[in-house]
Amino acid sequence: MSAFRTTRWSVVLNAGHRTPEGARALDQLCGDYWYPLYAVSRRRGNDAHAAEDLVQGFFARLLEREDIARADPARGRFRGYLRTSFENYMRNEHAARTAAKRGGGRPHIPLDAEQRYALEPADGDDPAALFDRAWAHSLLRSTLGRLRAEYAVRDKEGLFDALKAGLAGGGPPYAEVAADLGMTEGAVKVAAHRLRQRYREALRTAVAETVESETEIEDEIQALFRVL
Amino acid sequence: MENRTCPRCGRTLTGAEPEGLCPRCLMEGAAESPAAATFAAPTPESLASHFPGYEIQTLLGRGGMGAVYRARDKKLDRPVAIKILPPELGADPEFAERFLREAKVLGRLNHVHIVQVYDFGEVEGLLYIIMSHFDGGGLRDRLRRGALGVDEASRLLREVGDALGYAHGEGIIHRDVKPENVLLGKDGHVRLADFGLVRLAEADGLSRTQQALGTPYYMAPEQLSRPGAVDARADIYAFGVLAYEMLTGELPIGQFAAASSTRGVPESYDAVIRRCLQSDPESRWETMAAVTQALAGHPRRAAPPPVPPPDAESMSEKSLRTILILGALAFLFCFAKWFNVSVVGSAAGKDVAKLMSQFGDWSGFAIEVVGYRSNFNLLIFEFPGWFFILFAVALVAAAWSHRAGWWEIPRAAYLALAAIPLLALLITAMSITSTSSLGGVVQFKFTPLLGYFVELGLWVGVLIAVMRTYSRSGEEAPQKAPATRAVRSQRRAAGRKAKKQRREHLFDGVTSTDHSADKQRNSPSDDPSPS
Repeated sequence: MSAFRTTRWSVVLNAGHRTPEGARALDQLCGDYWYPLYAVSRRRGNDAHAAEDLVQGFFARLLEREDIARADPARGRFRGYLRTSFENYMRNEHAARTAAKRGGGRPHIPLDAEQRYALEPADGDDPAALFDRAWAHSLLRSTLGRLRAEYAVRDKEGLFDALKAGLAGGGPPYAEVAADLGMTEGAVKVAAHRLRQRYREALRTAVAETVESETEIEDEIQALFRVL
Repeated sequence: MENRTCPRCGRTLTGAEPEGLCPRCLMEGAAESPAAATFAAPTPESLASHFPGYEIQTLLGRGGMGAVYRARDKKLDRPVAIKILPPELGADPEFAERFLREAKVLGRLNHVHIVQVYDFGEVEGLLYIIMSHFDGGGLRDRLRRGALGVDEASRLLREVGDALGYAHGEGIIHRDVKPENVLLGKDGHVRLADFGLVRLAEADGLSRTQQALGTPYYMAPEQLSRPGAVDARADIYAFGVLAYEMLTGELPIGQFAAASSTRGVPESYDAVIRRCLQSDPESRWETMAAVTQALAGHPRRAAPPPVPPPDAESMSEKSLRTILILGALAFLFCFAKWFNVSVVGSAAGKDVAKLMSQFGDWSGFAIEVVGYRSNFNLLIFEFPGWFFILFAVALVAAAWSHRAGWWEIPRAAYLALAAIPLLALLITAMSITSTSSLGGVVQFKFTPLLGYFVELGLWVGVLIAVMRTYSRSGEEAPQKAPATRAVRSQRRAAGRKAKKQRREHLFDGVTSTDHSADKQRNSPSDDPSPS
């Protein structure tokens, strides 16, 4: 258990994204964190189409070229790296315009990006804060999505829906859930506990993928908590 | 979607939240203190009715096993800390019963570095423990600022170790030693908190995974694989992690650097920590006391020997090899002598030229030996078998004594036995000078120069070694005379290898080289067979 599990980000950093496993890890990461970049891009005044192009171009470039190799020697977390390099990228209009024409590996575009963006507070925080918040949301979203899928596989999606509010400290009383689902209250209690455990595990795993070592997980969670 | 508010923190939700849940509370739920996610700690005011005897002041923090409040004992007018366990745990009668039973045991713990339990119980389904309270923070807060200095870390570790050792003596295993549970008082001393609470939860089948999720780094491997069989050595593992983290500011994860690679950390700590961190409990230190003593630089003799410093290790290996080679050489030499005299010498009356053609170069020896057999014979050749047995015993004794480390008695025996070949050599050497006049059975037709030089060299070496032994310490002087074989070996080691090698290493150091020792053990029985 004490053995250090390699995170995706550390794979990218150590193996370089040119290696197959490095590229795969980076591709996955980019897919998960597509939206935060999109939100920043939109916040910077690009329309939906341009923003999408920007993000796609950015990722294409990231996957194609040596940007990772030129990453800050001090390394750091994926979140910080991605935000900084994206901001840099956006400053280069030409790159932005031509990016969409490039081929190469491209992460899957989330369909609901613009819908999500529409719900962001229109005023207020600067792009950096927006990025971090969107990042945290993406993290939570993908984690909960994974959990839901896990429960769905076992035909327990109803249970997941009934108990998910408990993950944020709310939700109906156990007795009520028990009555709804035809379970005993004790069984619901145990199920709720299991869900919380599993959620924590899944979220921490997801965070672990974006930091260089496991010791940073808690710090990253705290940091994300602060931006929310 | 209409705007809603988070039922827990009251923030407005826009509808863009993942699964419609408050992201802030979700994120908090994944933070290190597992129960904090769902355990909405009651406000101090709402707790007041539960604890009429206490004035509940502030919420100090929420942890994996509940929330802690600072309060004042009205009657005794002293500050206390009240820990509330998550209500869902209290709702389980079985858990409640176990908790009360365990808390009673915890209440017995009375140690300056353990948070004292004043009271415990259940009030309206809420399980609580009332403990001593003191100003200060957790070691975790301190560690966020990096490693502690070696002096401070050592002192705090000693305190933690003492506390754990004491608890182990009382039959209580902490099971969750980690910086969060090491409270650091403003007085600069530590108090260990949350003794055994994990076990309660584990028994409940609830928090095992939860704990594993929270802080797996401090958990001994067996705590995950077979939590039922955990003993004090799990705490020793966690202590090792804690020690490493306090000294280096890092966790010993994966291929971690030796603690001593951090500036100021003594190398002696490395072996101590390494042994705490063995994944097999059997390989760890057996007791907390052994760990703290080892850290303090006074490893107990009874404890299995710590790994010797690398220098001595390599030196001992060389020494043993030297002894082995010399032993083999000496053995061959004596064997040759015996062979010549008993086999060749018996044919002494026959034609020397025939001997020579039969035995080649060896006949040089043969002639030499036979030439003064009258002297040599007396000591050795009447009992060739006896001589070899003694020799073999001496070698085995030497090997065994080096291997066992407890070498005083066998070494003495070895030295005594080794006197035999020395005396033989002595007489041989004396014979050399008188050979020409002896005449003997066979006339000299060859000058066995090589044989002379070999003997002469050995003899000079023996003399030098004996003198060195003598001059080195009075304690060894009585063994001087019988010291031949050992000393002969040493002479080679000292003379050929390096002058800087000090004599005692020849014997002291060899303990660790099992492999070579085994070889040496075998050599006496193997070697005679080629004859």
